[in-house]
Order: sequence, then structure tokens, then C-alpha cells
Amino acid sequence: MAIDNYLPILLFIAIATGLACTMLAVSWLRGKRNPYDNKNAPYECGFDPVTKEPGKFDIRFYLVGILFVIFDVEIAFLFPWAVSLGKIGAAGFFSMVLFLAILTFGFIYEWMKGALDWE
Amino acid sequence: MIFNLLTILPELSLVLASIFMLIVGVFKEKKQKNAKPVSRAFSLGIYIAFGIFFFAYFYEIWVSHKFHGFSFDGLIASDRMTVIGKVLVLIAASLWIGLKTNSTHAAVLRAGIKVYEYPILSLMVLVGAFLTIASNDFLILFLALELQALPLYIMITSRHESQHSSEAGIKYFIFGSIATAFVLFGAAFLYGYAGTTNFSPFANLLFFTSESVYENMWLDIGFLFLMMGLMIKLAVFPFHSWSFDVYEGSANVQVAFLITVPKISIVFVLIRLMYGPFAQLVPMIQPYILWLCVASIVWGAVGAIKQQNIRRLLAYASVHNIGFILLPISIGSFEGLQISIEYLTVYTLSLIGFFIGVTSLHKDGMNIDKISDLRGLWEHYPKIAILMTICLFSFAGIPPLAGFWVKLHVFRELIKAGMIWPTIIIAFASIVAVFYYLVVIRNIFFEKSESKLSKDTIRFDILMIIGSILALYPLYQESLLRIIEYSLYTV
Repeated sequence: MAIDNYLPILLFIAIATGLACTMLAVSWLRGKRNPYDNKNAPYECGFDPVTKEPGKFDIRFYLVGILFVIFDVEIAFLFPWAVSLGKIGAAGFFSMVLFLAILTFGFIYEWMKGALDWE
Repeated sequence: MIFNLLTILPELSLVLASIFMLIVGVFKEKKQKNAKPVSRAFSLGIYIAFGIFFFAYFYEIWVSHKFHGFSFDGLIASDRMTVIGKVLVLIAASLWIGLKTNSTHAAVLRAGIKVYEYPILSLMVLVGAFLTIASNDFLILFLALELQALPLYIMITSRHESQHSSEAGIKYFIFGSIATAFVLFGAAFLYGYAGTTNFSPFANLLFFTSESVYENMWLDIGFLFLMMGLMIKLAVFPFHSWSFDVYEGSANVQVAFLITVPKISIVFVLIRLMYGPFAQLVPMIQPYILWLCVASIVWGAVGAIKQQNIRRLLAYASVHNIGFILLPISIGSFEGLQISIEYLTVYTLSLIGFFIGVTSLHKDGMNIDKISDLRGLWEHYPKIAILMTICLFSFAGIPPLAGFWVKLHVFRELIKAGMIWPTIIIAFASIVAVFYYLVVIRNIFFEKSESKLSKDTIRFDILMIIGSILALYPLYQESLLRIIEYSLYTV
């Protein structure tokens, strides 16, 4: 097995680690430090990021999240298809149409099931 | 291109049916709040349509042999072995789909499965199992394994009132994901070795290259990972421990589905792999598979002795029997593959017969849970008792029944291959296994029950057919073996 093929990866790891360590070390050594409460508070929109016990979290967030992921993956699938549409021909085109049709049925299902209604 | 669609006709019709049922069902549910399953006429229509499609597929592939070989650029295999696998899966699944026309529908409702999506999910599992059998490419294999596993996770967790249900679902999900991850990982290594994910170039590559190629590390690691993934799915000995809790937490109708459909399809994939691309590697992996099978036969026999729960008992019996199914494959001979399929057929039929009895009975409105719940069956329903006993004796391998002959064939193949010690060990283990089948039979016949057993409408016709197949097996075992042999010639 040719081990020298992995030399660039080793170099890459070494350089990346070295660079990261240098940057952290320099900013730690040379930076001015003046901490106070407001500065230490993490910048988040409205939520307190650290709590003692997990509070009530509405299950509907999960549902919306899952539905979002499904359609997000579909978009991620559409982009390479759109780029390579010239090469894959009619079969590729109609395969995607079929996929979108099945996805539309899923969308009808989730709509009628009431997954999109908040109340 | 368009004629290639014929090779996936059963899958196609099932997908269309499930989409149609999904949409019709959701509109019906919108109209009236209590979730009504799909209507009787409608599911009958689906049966008929699917029957026609499946017959067309059967005719074209098996009889006229028009589309022999591969379709979709070699991704889907369409030979007679896929047909025999699909027929077996269909026989195993058809009673437990959960449609309203099914005789098991009352048992499904009693188990607390009220969602109308349940039959649709089982149809999707069926699509996945069909595609697994027909897969001729690692990527299709991975997709099909996921396609049959994902609906099964939802099916198991679909009993909202039971805590065990979600526990079983989570456990099955974790182990199923690990198994498919192993399969994908192995496929990645094999791709790294060969530069292809398709099975057919693999066969040529391994057949025509020199002996030293087999010592390639990537090939070995990839093949080992692939095997491990499939063995987790099959619950072979060191990877078996998920199956007990999963089966115990599921309802009887679900276990009847879960214990047969995925396992049959994966055994057929194993046969395709061992017979096609990796035939040259079988001598390398043979000792491992052999001793794992022997270990799972022993473990399945010994561990089941103290079990009280009927599904847990069947999980152990499944570990025991899967060893018998994989042993002839590990020999690597052509007869071994035939006998493996023969054993699988007989085992599936016995399971179906036993589950027809178990799912149609109930005690105080509850499904049968413990072995002791079967007490008093002989007093109330002697016909069911006798037919279930035939199935249990067939599991145990009592002489005139089918289970005896297939075990005999396994022993014969092992001795022919010169493996004396494994044969002796599994012979003793199957004597131990007889004990726990006899415990069930003692409960059916000789114990008095405190509360009365009741039954739903039971498919006596199917139970009678299965009983007579198991009892009269010597009459047509030659023709069954000839059919299996005929189907394997074309792989």
C-alpha cells in the first residue's frame, strides 16, 4: 500500500493544527482583556441559552423542523440535477418529475393531516 | 426503457397503491374525525390489481423468460431467483398487511393500532423487501434496506398506548441504523477496491484475477463489514440481542410481519452475494459463518428454555432457525443454496401457521402474550390446537413433518462437506430446542385455564393448507427442490 499518498494529508493536518494553535496563542498572549457581565453574555435572540432543567419545548417545533429538512433536502437534490440537465436527457428529466410528483403527494398528505396548522 | 418497467412491476403497483391509499385515506379522515381504515371494496380492488400485476411479472420472468438478466443498467436483477424470493415474501406478508379484508384486522385493532396508515406502511415494507431481493448494486441494496426498515420502525411505534412499543421501536431503529451503516461502510470499501458498486463486474473481477487478489485488505474489510451488517439484520448469534426486546415490545401481528419479511429478503441477498460476486471469497469466510451459525443454533436453543413470553420465545426460535438457514449457504455448494431456500420456505410456512393461530385467539379482550395464555386451547378449539401443534412439531423437527426433512437435508449437506463436529453440535442443540416447543404444546393440551379463550374469524382454509403442506411434505419435496434448483440456474 502506498503510504506516501497520505503525505499531503499529514502536511495538511500539521499546518492546520499549527495555524490554529498560533492564532489562539497570539490572541491569548497579546490581546487586551476587560471582561464584564454584558460582554460575557452570549448574543442570542431572546432565549436564555443555558438553563438548569430543560423547559417545555413545543413538539410542533420538531414537526416544522422535520418538514423543513425534507424540503431542504429536495432543494439540495434539485441543484445538481439542474446543473447536469443537459447531459442526463429525457430519462433524467422525467425521473426528477416523478420524484417531485411523489413529494407533492407527501405534501398534500401533510397538509390535509394538519401538520402545517399551528393551532 | 419503458419495457424495463416490467421488471419492477410488483414494486411499481405497490407504490402506486400506497400513494393512492394515503391520499384517499387522509381526505376520508378529514371528513370524519375517527380514523377509518380503507374500505373493503377498495382494498379488494388493490388485491385484484396487484394480483394481475404480479402475475404479469411472474409470467414474463418465470415462464416466458423474456427479460432475463438485469434491467435499469444492471441495478435491478430480474431472474427466477428474484421471482421465487418475491413469491415467498408475498406469502409471508399477505396475511399481516392489516387491510380491512384481512382476517387479522381484529387483532390489529385489539393491539391498539388505530392509525389508518398501518396497511400503507406494510405495503411500503413489502416494496422494500421486493427491491432488496432484486437489488444488483450496493447502492440499491442500501436504499432497499432502508426502505424496508423505515416503515417498520414506524409500524412498531404505532401503538400509542403502549410504552413497550416505543421502546421496541427505538431499539429497532438504533440497531437497524447501525446495520445499514455497516452495509454502507462495507460497500464503500468494496467500491474502493473495485471501482464499481455493481455486483456483476465484481463477479468477473474476482473470477478472472489471480489468487493473491483475495488477500487484499480492502476487499476483506469491505466484505466483512457487509456481512456483519446483514447479520445484524438477521439476528445471527453475536448480533442477536436486539431481537428479543424488539419482538417482545411489538404486537403479535407486527412480529408475524417482522420475523419473516425482512429476514427472507436479506437471506436472498446473501444467497445472491455468495453465489454471484463473492463466490470466490466463500472459502475465506466459511469458518466464520459456520461457527457463528453453530453458536446461534446453540444459543437460540438454550436461551429459549426459560422464556415465558411467546414472542420472546419466537425470537429465540428465530435465532435458532436462522443458523440452520445460513449453514448450508456457508458451505458454498449449489445444493447448499437450494437447501437454504427450502429450509426458509418450510420455516416461513410453519411461522405463518403458528401466527394465524396466535393472532386469532384472545383472552379477556387481550392478545395472547404469555405461553400460559394458550392454556385450554384443546378444550375450546381442538381444530386450531391440532393445526398449531403440527406447526410447532414442524419447528421442532418431529419425523413425518416438513421440519424434519429440511433439517435432515442440512445435516446431509454438512456431512457431505466433511463437517462432522458442527453437525454433532447442532444435532444436540436441536434436541434441546424440542423441549421448549413441547412446553408450548403442554400448555395447549394439558393445562387447565382460569379464564376462557375466545377467537376471531380465523382463516381455517389457509391454516389447513399449511398444515397439510407440512404434514405431507415427503410427497412433493422433490418437486419443490426441483423448482428451487430451476430458479437458481439462471442467477
